[in-house]
Amino acid sequence: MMMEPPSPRPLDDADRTIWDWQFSVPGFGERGQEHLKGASVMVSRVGGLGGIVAYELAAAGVGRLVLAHAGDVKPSDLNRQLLMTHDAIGTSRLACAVHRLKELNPRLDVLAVEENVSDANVAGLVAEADVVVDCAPLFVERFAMNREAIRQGKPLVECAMYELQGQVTTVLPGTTPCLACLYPEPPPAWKREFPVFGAVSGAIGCIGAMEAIKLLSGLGEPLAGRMLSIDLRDVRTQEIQIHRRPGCPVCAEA
Amino acid sequence: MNITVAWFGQLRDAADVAEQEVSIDPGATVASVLLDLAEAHGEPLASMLRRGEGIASTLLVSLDDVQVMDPQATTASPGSRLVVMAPISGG
Repeated sequence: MMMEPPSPRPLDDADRTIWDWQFSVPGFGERGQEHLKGASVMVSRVGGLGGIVAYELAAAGVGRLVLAHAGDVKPSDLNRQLLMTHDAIGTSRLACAVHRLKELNPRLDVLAVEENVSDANVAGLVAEADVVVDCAPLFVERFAMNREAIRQGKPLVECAMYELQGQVTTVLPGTTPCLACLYPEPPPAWKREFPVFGAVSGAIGCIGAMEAIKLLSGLGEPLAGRMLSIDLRDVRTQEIQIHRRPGCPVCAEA
Repeated sequence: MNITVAWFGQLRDAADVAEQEVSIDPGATVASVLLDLAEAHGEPLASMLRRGEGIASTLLVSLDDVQVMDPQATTASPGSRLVVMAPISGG
């Protein structure tokens, strides 16, 4: 079951000029653009994956982004975090990201929170969004967003990458498996620093952004109940059917 | 009979191979196949696959493109493709 699209906001002439190329996409049209303009999407964090997701959503004309990311730009961010710049090293990542997003789309409304997702802030962040896109590098943040998205009945796009591989699935509360269905225990082997190319985050982030666009506009079919896995080493894709886990402590009652 | 086992995420690093052909007994369960592979590969793969006497619940396993919910009750067919994914969280 797809989500109810957010309330549409009327387009003006400038909107029509900027997003004209999208209107002719079958199943989208001006109505789809109105839904994007009326939408709010949470993206956490805005590093390698989340930066691409946020940039593509800003380019597509999503009206509002809710961004959560702490810390300052480091030199080692720059191979993949394309919203960051060399000149911004040592300054706020989020400020740099917002500046870049506004350069592309000055009409974009941004709620920027210079914190990473935690149990303390996740409810308020998710409440600000119609859709959540999870691009966090730590499972503790992912599980917090999953739990809160399920509780608030918000769709959650799960994007992750490692080395030349990536995974994307879309969680529809009460309909599809949630992250805790897939991983009922915190994965012990995951480490914060991992091998990756920026082009991998670009590829996976674009798919995640498209999932959000589809959810918001009613276009196409999201990866609901399906896990897309891509290996860019030999450019192979795999899609697996995933199932809700009976008795899942997070979503069984959803 | 033979099946293909493909490793994803950090499991691939630990297995040191992207995929492999495995000879299994007819009727072998997914759990027994993975435990045999843990034994054959040794560490570090073994401790990523096992949890106690069984299979780690943090693995996402699919057989012929369908998630395996109960590895001890699921059996492979000749030519099956078993995919074993470690949870990844790169963001």
